[in-house]
Amino acid sequence: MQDSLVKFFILLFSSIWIYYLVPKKVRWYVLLLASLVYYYLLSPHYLSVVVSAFTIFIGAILIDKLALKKCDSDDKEEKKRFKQRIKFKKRLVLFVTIIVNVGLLIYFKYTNFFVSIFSSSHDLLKIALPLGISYYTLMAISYITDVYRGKIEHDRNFLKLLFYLTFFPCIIEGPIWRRADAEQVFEGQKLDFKNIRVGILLILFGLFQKMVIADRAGILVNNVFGSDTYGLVSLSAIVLYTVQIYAEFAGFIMMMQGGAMLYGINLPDNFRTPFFSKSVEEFWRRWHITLGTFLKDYVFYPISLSKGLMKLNMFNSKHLPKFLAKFLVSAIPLFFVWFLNGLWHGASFKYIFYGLYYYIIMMIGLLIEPLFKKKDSKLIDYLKILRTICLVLIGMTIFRASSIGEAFTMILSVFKYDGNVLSYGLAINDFVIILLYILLMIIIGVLKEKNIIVRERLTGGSPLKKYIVYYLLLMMIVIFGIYGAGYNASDFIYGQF
Amino acid sequence: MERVIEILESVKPGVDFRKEKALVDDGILESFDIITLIAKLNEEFDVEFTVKEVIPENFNSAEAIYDTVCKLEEE
Repeated sequence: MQDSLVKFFILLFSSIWIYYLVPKKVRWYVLLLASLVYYYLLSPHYLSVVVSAFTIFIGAILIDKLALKKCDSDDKEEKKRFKQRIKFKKRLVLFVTIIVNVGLLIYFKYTNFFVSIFSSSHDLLKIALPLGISYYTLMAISYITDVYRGKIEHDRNFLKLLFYLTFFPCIIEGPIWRRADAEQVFEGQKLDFKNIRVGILLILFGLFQKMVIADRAGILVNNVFGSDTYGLVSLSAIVLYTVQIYAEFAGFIMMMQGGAMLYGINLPDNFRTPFFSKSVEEFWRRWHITLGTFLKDYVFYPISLSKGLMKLNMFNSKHLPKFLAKFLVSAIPLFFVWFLNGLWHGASFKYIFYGLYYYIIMMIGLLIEPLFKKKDSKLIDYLKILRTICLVLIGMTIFRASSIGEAFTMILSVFKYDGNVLSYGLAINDFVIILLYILLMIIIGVLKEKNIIVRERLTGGSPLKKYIVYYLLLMMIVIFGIYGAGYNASDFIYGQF
Repeated sequence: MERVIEILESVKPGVDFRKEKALVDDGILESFDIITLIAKLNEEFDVEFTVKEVIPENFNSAEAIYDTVCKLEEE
């Protein structure tokens, strides 16, 4: 098992006793301590996260102080001018705070990328990436912006903010939670055995997804990507990489949600049966949900509602056909959304291309929308789902390949002469296990769409039932898990960001 | 209120805006519709919607939209 996960479980199971033994009001201090210990164990570069927490702490206090200022004059014009001055100052504080935080992210994550663009030297600078910087920077931006928008009040206790940014189940791969989501922690959670039951199930199923499915699929993926393969072999690698990244990312988030649930804390969902989506837009509303909602709330809407775009929108809706007006008004904000989505995933042109790939698909979709008459039928829905899966498979191949060129070579190689798919590290049994997993996820997904939550069904009712489920999952992890001497557990793909 | 419903119908025809109570939650109004709707509301009622107002509760029904407009007019 991966080092970060082992340390996570050690901290989780050693802190949970203390957590429930101390009074409710101070329980979050136990979690703060556990989070700081976890951070220190995985990365000694903790100064950056403290600076982030400190800047948003001060920034938020200043913004709220400015918001409380009242104009003494009764003159309407003077009141208006006063309001504008306050607005300008608040905005200035917001921008400075965001610039400091984004500046730290750019320095740590993108310096080498910019050096490689503007310099002929191939020597990379040795800059250690602080743990979770891609995630906690977004959380810091969401906090200061929410205070600016008046959605939440500033924190009076700096440690609460430090906790919010470093809470150890969220620091490696998210979910990117909001400050309002964290309020439940400070209210103090009481011991509820239902949470413990569901938490254990989520941890076991997450571990199953990582160790039995993702790491198994990863064997073939690692052997095929970058080598010269064709036909079914290439296709298997493309499909299995998507299975791998889903099982790993969704499995990891599930473990973290399960861990948090043992403390009685609900973390937001990051996935909602994404492969049931009828379009790529819908896919991105169901995949990595917390990143999508972040980009919607803090990039898409602010750009769309800017005065210039509002005017353009009005002009377009009066003078152009509806689909064209929609296309033009979407083009600018969506470009930034997808450019930043790509860049956030990694400091290279490949990731920017990955983001813009989805942008181009969405723009083409908007442009050709009027050509297709809307017909509702089950068959058309299934075809739309299949189309979306194919587009996502291409996107994931770009994501996995070492370069854009390699991605397209890989995709084109699917249509050439066949090879033997069983020569790349996986036997028939392995394929059967992965296929059964896909079938299981389809069943769970169908039930979820019908509002039947499997985790609740499995952990409710007779105690014997849940122990059988735990036992079966544990046995499957022990028997079918990819681990042991000589095996290097692969890093979590989303942990690299 | 009638004017709000007319604007809603111009943005998204074919929806019974007098009955629907979960326009955002049920996915009837998408992000693009909300942007166009805001542009029209801003012009019609001389108000200024900011990102702060863009929350599902303010757009889930014609009534909620009307209330938000009234609130902004007061400001």
